[in-house]
Amino acid sequence: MVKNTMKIWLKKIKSKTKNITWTAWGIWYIDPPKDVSLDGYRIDNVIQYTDTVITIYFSIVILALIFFIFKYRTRPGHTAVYDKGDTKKHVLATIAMGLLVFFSIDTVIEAMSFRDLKEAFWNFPKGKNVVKVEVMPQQFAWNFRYPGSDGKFNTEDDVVPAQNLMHVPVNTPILIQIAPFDVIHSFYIPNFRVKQDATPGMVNAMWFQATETGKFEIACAELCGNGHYRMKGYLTVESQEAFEKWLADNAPQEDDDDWDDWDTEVDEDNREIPKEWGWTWKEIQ
Amino acid sequence: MSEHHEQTFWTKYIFSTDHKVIAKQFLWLGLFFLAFGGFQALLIRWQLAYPEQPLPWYLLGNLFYEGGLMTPDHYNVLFTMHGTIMIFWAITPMLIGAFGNFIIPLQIGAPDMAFPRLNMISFWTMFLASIVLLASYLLPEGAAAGGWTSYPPLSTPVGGIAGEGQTLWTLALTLAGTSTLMGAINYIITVVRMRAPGMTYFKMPLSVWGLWLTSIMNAIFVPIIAAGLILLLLDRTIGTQFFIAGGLATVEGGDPLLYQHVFWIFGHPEVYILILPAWGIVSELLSVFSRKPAFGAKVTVICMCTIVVLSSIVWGHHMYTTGMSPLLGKAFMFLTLLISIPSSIFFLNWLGTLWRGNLHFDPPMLFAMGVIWVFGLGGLTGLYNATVTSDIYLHDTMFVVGHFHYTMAASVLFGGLAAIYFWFPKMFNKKMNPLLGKIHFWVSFIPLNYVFFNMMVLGYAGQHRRLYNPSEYEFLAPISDLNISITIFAIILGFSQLIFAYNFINSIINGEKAEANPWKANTLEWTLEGPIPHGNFATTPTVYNGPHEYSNPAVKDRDWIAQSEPMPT
Amino acid sequence: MKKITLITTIVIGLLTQTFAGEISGKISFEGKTPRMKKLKLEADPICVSNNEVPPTSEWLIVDESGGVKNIIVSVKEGLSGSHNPPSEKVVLDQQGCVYRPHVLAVMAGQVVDILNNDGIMHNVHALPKINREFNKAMPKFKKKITTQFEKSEKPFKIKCDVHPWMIAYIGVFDHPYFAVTGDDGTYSISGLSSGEYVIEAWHERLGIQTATVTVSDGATNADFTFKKPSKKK
Repeated sequence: MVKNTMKIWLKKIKSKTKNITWTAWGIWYIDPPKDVSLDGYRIDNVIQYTDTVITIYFSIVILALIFFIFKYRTRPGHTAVYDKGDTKKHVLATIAMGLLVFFSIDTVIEAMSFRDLKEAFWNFPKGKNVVKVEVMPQQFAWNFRYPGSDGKFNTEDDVVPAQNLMHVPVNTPILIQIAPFDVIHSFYIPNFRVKQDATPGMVNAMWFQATETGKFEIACAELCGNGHYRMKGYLTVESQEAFEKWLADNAPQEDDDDWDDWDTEVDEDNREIPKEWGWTWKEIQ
Repeated sequence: MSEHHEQTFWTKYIFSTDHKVIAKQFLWLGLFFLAFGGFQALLIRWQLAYPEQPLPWYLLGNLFYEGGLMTPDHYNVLFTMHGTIMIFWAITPMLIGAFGNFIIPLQIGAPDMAFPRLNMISFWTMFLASIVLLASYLLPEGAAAGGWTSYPPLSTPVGGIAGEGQTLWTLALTLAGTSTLMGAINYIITVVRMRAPGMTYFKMPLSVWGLWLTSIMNAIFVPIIAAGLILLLLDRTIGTQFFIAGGLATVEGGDPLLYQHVFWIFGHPEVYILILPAWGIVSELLSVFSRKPAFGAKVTVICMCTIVVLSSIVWGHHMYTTGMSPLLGKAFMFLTLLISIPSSIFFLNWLGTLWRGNLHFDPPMLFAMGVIWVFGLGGLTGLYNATVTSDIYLHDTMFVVGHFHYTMAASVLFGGLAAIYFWFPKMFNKKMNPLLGKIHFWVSFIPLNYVFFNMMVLGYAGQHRRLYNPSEYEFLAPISDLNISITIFAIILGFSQLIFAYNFINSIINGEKAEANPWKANTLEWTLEGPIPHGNFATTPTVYNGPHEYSNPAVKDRDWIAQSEPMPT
Repeated sequence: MKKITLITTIVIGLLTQTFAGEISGKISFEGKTPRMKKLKLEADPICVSNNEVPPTSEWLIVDESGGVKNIIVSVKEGLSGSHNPPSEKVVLDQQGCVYRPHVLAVMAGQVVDILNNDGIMHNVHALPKINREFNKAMPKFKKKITTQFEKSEKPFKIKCDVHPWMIAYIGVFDHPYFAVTGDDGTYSISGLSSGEYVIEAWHERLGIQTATVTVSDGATNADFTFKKPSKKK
């Protein structure tokens, strides 16, 4: 019976919190950057629901405190009631209130988050129209790489644009795999509500989809050294044609003599970005 | 029973084994570093508000930096050392070192700690750790700059932070952990073995419970961070690669994520370690100043124990964006959210203590009630960070900074200040000026709320952490004014602590002599006339009553009865 | 009279001979030179605007006569005694997000001024193996930092972490007998006493070549030729 009640409760939460844009109660009174992503609303929803309920509860606490300060302040003739608060009534009442808080906030946001993980964040897009990009942050710039017309990474026709400049087409799922060149960085695009750490030795995946064109900032959200604050990139969202033109403009140039193939005595402490990134795209099952 | 041995100046004041003297040594050390760390916070705030302007004269800019302007490497050192110092050198010595040492033996009726010499060594180890930490400032390449979390590979030699600052930091922290471990063992065994006759576990005051549970957690988790730090130290000095992988590794098998797990398996319990003493002390003080028993004291104890257990299995919520599998994310989220239940319950018990009480608004009470406010806010805002969805956006933003300053800085600090105001007459046998205490409360409470609440607003607006210059980003243009006003209130908050400093020091030197029990409190330390002799109790007290026995109708002429006084028939 | 004149002549002769030796020559490159690619400065828009002409990579600069720029030629063996660093400062400028010059040679203990005239943050990250590594941020208000390298070391890299294409090389010597070739690939090291020396020519990618030279009064010639190395296996 308990299991069934829980199932019904969860179902109710999922249906009632789907696709609602909660109006912010305004406790965090400066708006976040404009959300231009397909799934960013989920994050705004969870935050705004939590805002609503905790404002109610904390207001009750404030009112209680004000009430207690006035009603129970010490004054001639006033005494305290000798109450240890350990009778069954009291204990059950406090436990019930604690559970009320838990069921009204915690279970709801948890259910919403479970759903978000399943429907969006770990629901990586598949199919022909998905644009794949490899991101490699380094101290202190962002490197991007597109597979080029053969659709495969680490081949001759990979498009490697100038650092810090990423372009994607609008209304298209963008699938990203990210691994850093040196220390831990974090790929953060405020207007898309996404953030994904790049940890050396791991290749992480994430995805997003833009609903509007424009130019948006990318920032690094994990301390990576003294240039961390300046590790800024730009994400340009444009039409499919403009995106393809940009890819063509940034395609690798023909070189009559590609010295990267020659056996030169290069400094071993070479931290320039090598042509081979040292990791490859992992197919996600 | 007091031991009789000859005491020289050195053994009485410097290398004392008396827990009360060691408590004061920890208190001075903690207060010094609180001021140091607080000052660093003001420098950080200035840089965030006015990124291109030199520091003003009252922040001693020209003394530290050429032309009063700090560079990004200086800024990285600032927030690294601010965090490290506040957690390990200010809060730990003050709440756990000073008040743990002072309160525990007195409140359980013991003559001293179980291991007085170990106690003394624990202080001097902390002192040594302090020297190592401060010495790192003298290095040519500067002190540690990898954040207080010191994630590798940034904190390893391949991460690009030149110099040995990070190495000395790791060493200082390992020494500090050693000091904490020694103290933890001491406190645990003292409480288990040296309680006075009649002092059952549930007759122990809640302050002792808070400090005892903290010590148990310290004993379990500090060795974990010590292990992680030693591995990091090896990576830094002898060329191992435990935490180095990817492009910079020359051997296979290292994993930076391993460090994060080790760090946060300690790190999350650590935040509960820091706040448990404050929870216990606040529960006790609310009772004293409401003249009412602590509401649901047994339930509060059970809740604290539940939180201790739960806190050890929730560390992953610091790592939601590392790419962990969603199953792990969901598990950590579920367990973290479970902590709301015991937290809400004992929070309600605090309100229950005030309910139908007889409230006296002395400075310790003001600060204790302040903890209700700031911990309420801080605890509730933890919900955003516990949930994976909202944490994706809020991770590594100022929202987290606002949240943990509410729970760690504000709650623990107010708890510590409440404790200082409360036990000052017993520690120093003098009275503090109550009017200055009340003014201190208000000039701290209001700016503090402005500063940290607005940090959460900044975080929601997208400002990420550890930024030398937020004006680099166009999306942060809306928050530049807010950064300025936060800094102004932070400076007010910082300088208003001078009222406390004056009150504290002046009262020690010139204060009126305090009576034995100015607050009419019922715990055992208030039955002693000051100054309390070495060995505390002339005869071991027998405990008849529970702690917080106030307004008992069986006691006719007053609203309290000491724990060691038999109940009138 | 004759005796005095003879002695004087011999003494003057000896004195003028003592440090009159000079090694000079030209470094040439044999083979087709690769095209130096343009640096992708769009990663930081201010770098683009600070350059009138878009800069190119500088790892191999060869002029029409085949002369290679930025080779450090130095005396490796054959010297004696100690030498004090000169009081002149060496300047390394960061201008248009490029280090100027690309290759530097200094004496141990000589003062190096690193300038930042770009109005944006650069950070100077030196990666020596013998000297102290340092990593100093130079935000826009920090227009100059001063440093010294205490020990001699074969040329090592200095890079800017904020702009990863910015690389310079610096060699530190405990004697003043070194030179960096200019555009035409020629160099000249003077002030040597007669004797046998081993000199070495260093290029950042093509490696090091050595030669043994006997120095007497006047100029001695020592040329080097670098070839394109073989293909990687």
